[in-house]
Amino acid sequence: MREGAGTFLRRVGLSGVMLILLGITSLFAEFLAPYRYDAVRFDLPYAPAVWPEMGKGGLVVPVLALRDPVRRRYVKSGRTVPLRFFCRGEAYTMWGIIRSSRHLVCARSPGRLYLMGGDLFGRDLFSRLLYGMRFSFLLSLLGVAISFSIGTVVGMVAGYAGGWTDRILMRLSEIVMAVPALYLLMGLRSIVPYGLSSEAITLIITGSLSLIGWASLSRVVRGLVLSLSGRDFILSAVAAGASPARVIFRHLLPNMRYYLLVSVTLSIPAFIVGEAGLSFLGLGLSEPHPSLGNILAESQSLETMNSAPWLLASGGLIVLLVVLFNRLGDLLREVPGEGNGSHR
Amino acid sequence: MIRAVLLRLSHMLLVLLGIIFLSFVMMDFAPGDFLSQMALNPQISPRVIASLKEQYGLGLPFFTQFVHWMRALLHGNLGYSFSYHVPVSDLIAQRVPMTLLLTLTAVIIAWGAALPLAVFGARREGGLFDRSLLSFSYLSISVPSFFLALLGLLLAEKTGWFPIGGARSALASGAGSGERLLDLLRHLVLPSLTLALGSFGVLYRLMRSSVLEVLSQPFMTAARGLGLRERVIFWRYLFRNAVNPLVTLFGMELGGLLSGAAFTEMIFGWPGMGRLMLHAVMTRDLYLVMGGVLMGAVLLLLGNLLADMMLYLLDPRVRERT
Repeated sequence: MREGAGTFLRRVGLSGVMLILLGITSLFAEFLAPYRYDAVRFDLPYAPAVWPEMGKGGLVVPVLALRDPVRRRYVKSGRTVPLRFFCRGEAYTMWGIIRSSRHLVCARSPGRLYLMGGDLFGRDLFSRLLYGMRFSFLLSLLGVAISFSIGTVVGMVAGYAGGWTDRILMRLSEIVMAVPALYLLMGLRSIVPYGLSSEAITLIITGSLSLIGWASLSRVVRGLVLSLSGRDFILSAVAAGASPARVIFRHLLPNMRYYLLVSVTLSIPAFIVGEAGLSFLGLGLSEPHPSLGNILAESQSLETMNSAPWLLASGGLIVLLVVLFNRLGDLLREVPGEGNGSHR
Repeated sequence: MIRAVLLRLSHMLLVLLGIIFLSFVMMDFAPGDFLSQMALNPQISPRVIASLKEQYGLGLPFFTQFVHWMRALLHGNLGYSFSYHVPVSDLIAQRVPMTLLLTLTAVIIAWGAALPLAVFGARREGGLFDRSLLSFSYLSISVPSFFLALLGLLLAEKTGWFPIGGARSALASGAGSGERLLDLLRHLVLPSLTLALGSFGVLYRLMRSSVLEVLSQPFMTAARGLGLRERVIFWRYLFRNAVNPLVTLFGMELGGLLSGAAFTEMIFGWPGMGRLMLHAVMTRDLYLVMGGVLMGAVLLLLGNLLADMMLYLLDPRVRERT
């Protein structure tokens, strides 16, 4: 793309910038999160948020003490531990390659930094949300890539070939769309065995979501192909003896890319919500791996909602991501840019 | 009319056949069949298993099995649920009315609220009322149904305005039918409200832009110029034209609504199809899962047919084309 940074920023707007920031943040989750997603503190169940305070010799983290184990009431014990930056904490391997133990912030045990509170096992919600958000991002991008590829190919072939090919492919997409998505997801989930590794589950969720997502996308692409293929520049390319591949790759795709970008952006929320929904029901990623859905599932009981309402923040994060992607899609659609002018 | 409906029906039947095939392939994919799990249960005699095996044609080649399955379906036999120990069709027949009750109530609430508000908002486009409802509908679109239901649960718990969970409370056995109906309705309020809130956004936005488009049409100016009464202009010109795209949307929205209803049922403990399906998936009750998938598809297709028929009745242009 030949455009300056200013044009890019104007085009993606505030929501695009926020999404990029959230994406980068989640990419460096290992470094930015004070703790690993599965680092437990059984002595601090449902710990409330603990923020650093100004103390002697810089920022300190108050140490919590469990005063009432039944009602889980906490008090500050009066002791503090210093808050350190760029410190050595739990070891990790970032992206599976970089070995390190540096964290942005740490607080030495028995103190513990809970920026947003903790869960039943005393795990840090903030850290888990970072990892969960990364999972949402990666899964939805992978899922969109798969369903987008299938959808584009099917839509192209159906629209370009027409006739029986078109009819059969479109009936296929109708079959997929004629089942309520959650029902189909549950059906697909029921045929794979339990007790798989988290990697396998990730692939299965992504695959199932893509298997559903391609259908509507293929219909969009088909509609675009049909509306474009009657136009003069396509007809003249065909008349000039261009091969179907040339027509598709040189003429059709470049003219559709703007619409495709918009519909891809607008289809990402479905993947985020789909994954979170499955994990929420216990059919997706399971403990101890964090997903926005299974973190939310922890707050399902009324008792937890009362004693640890901060766990609902994962639902808020889902809403935020969905709003941002929807805004970005709307923004991209509104911008009168290239592509828009060529076939309107 | 009859011709159009028949055409739609034949089309739907084809899609349904595809779904039956799809669900059959999915069952075939699953490791083992449901009988291999039953065989481990000492309470079930080998004779029963052998007869079931024959009935469902298990162990036969793929297409022979499919024919068996189709024949069973035609007799209304969806297989046997081994976790509830009753035929799947009985379970589904129990649950479908509850899901329909929930979904239809939500549809009525959402349409009843969104349509008048959208007409009102569009007439004062860009006003405070319109803008705040637009932001609200943005939120409504973006909040996933399971989160919305959780928040509803929280609200019920904090305020005590609504009964929590289930579809009926433990009433005295002597309660009359009127009392029982009232109890059911009280339990219906919160699930249907949260479900309706989720579909309000799309409806408001679409109806609003549709009204705006109709308002800018020359025939509206012409109707005004002719001095027609405001009520006639509203109902015969504005509303009838503006509501058309929404009727088309209804069919598409229904899929999302049924999925949302499933989540809502699970969280509020409403005994509908969604909860049944979740239980079936958890216990690997394959026939029940596939029965649920089929039933979900049937509901969706029927909803689409209904939307088509409504459009046919509402729009003379559609009538002329078919």
